[in-house]
Amino acid sequence: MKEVQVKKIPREKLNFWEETYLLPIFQGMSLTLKHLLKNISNTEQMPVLDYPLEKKTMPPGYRGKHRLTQRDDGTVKCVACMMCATVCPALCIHIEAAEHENPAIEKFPQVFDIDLLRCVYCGYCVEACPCDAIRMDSGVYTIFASKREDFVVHKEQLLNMQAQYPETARPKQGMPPLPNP
Amino acid sequence: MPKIIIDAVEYEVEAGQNLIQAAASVGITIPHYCYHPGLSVSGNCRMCLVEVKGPRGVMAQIACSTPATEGLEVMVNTDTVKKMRQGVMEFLLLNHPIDCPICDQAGECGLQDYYMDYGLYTNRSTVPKVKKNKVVDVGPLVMLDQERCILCSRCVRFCDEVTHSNELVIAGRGEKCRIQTFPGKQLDNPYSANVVDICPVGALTSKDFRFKKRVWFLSTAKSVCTGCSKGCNIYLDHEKGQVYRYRPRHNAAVNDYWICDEGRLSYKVLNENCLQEALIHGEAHPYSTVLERAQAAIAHTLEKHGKVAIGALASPHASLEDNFVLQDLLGQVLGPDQVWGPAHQELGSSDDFLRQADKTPNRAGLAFLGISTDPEATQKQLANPELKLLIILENNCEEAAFDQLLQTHRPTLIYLGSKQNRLAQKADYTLPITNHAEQYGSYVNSEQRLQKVYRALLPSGDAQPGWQALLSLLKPQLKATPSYSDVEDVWGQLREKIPALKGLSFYELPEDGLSLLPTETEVLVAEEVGNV
Ligand code: SF4
Ligand code: SF4
Ligand code: SF4
Ligand code: SF4
Ligand code: FES
Repeated sequence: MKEVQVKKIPREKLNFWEETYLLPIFQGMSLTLKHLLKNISNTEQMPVLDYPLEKKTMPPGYRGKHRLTQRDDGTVKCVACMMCATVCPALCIHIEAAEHENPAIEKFPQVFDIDLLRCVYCGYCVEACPCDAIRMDSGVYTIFASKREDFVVHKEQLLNMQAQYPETARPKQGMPPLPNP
Repeated sequence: MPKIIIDAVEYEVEAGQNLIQAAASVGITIPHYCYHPGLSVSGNCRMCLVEVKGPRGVMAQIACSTPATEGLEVMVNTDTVKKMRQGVMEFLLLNHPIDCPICDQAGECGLQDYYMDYGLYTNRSTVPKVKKNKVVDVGPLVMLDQERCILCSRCVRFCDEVTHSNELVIAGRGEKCRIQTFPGKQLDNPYSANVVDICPVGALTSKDFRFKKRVWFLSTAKSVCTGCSKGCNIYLDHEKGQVYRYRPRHNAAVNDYWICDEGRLSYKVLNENCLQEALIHGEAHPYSTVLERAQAAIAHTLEKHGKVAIGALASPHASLEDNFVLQDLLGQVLGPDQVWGPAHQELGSSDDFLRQADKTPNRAGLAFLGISTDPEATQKQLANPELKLLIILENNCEEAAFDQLLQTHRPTLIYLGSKQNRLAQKADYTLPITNHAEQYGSYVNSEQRLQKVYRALLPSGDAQPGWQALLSLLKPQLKATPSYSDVEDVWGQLREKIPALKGLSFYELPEDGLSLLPTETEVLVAEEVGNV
């Protein structure tokens, strides 16, 4: 068996004052006191948000509450292909498809519900969508309701959400081209 | 049997097949679109191109029109073959809309499948795609999207060769080429929805199934259509306790590759009106209460009026097992003559292809068990005022004879059924039983073919298989109680009591059924014996 090489570091010897621990305690307390005095004399500078009156702006790419994007005429862009519902690991997307009167669109979601209590905010639905119809760029991270049922958000609510950043600030998405077999 | 060489391996194949069939029989798939085993060979899609060694060297040839003859040497996986397939795919997709997100075929589409294997993955086209008509209503059951069509002509050949109704045609030339119905015609023959199954892409889709479900969510069970006595073999596609569609399942002896539209839509009854609870005079009660009261009614009638006061109606809608258990157990209690066939015929439209006039799936099964299927004999029995208690298995009884029965001597009715129908409401005691999608069972079709169905769904509510419900109902009257816990246990009795089923077991019944008609040898032997 190979011998394990061990480097021995000798313990530092404490002097008398250090051994009493009195001085180090004083040093520590004075540091705390210094910060306390600095902060209460200058509250403007404190790195704390006055939540919920103030809210943090999330960085681009943050996966917040979902939203459904719209066509130019304001109707839903989603075509109810169910890619998101298929890929969703939490099985929290419920879609019912219906016939659209415009044959060029053909299919649209009559019902589009997301159960936000089940959602794990993985963002797979956004990645799977072939139509860029669902995004998580609203920047909303406060999900609250007083009843379980209210955590299920419907199509109208999802359509009325706004993007946090203008289109151009969004990181470029989309699949890289597949390799030629 | 000719020997052919595929990719340097020698195989022995059946004579008279083409190369696609021969390769498939040894487990090699040759991609194809226009070839369909139920139709003539048209050879227009070129997807099945393979390399064949001939006197002039190796040549590209379409497999669907190349017969598999002795010594044929083919290469199905060379780089050239792959390149040809890639070229064909590129050509087929040149004007394809790639509607997959809205296309019902997605998930079972020939284009998607082969694209994964032979796609080019880069677009070389620089001109806009040709536009054609979308959402074209071609018939009561079928929706056409001309842009998605790859012009394989399967649908046209189906209408020409199978239904001989010639509704569809390929019109126009070049890039304007498209499928349409003849002017003034609709695709409305009784088998029209089969074109949806054979269309390899999403050009022809089912209006009934349209946008209801993405196909990859569906589970599939092998089953038999109960729309008529033909018993066409089907796949039953379902999800979360709901049935979404029937698709034909190949059975050369019964329905080949097809089913009729009426049968195709008959899945709907499985989703509606399922009887879930036990009822007394139409009111829901706990199962055990209803069972006990029904048992007491039987005991009381037996004691007071004797065996002749009880009768039972077997059902051409119930499985062979259910009817057998009814006949067998009740026979033990009452003697053999108290189980009668249905009191009426259920007739509908028929033709010389698949559809049968008799709209019940198991009338031949009753005859096979020796239960009379003559409605008049049964009606006579029912009119007998001595009848005090009647057990009815799965029946819809909307008939005048029944009303009369109920009005005149009104026997106590015990009904075992799967539907919330009038009889379930009128009967004194109603016990829910499973329908053909919720149980394992077998049916005998009009050609004396015994075919089995697999369970697809869990029973709704308190429903039990008919044989199980019958066993618990008659248990108190039986001297020796058989212990059935599975359909195979019922088959244990069937094997024993019916000579024709000797040595058979439910789970080992062939997928495509078993003919109960005597084989040629059996006929010959019987004749010989007769002559001697
Ligand atoms: S973020 Fe993930 S868990 Fe939430 S809906 Fe999308 S796919 Fe489902
Ligand atoms: S949001 Fe996108 S992925 Fe989900 S159904 Fe709509 S189009 Fe399909
Ligand atoms: S036919 Fe196939 S490839 Fe074309 S849109 Fe439909 S699923 Fe997609
Ligand atoms: S509609 Fe379908 S079956 Fe008919 S030619 Fe076009 S692709 Fe083939
Ligand atoms: S399958 Fe052979 S050419 Fe289409």
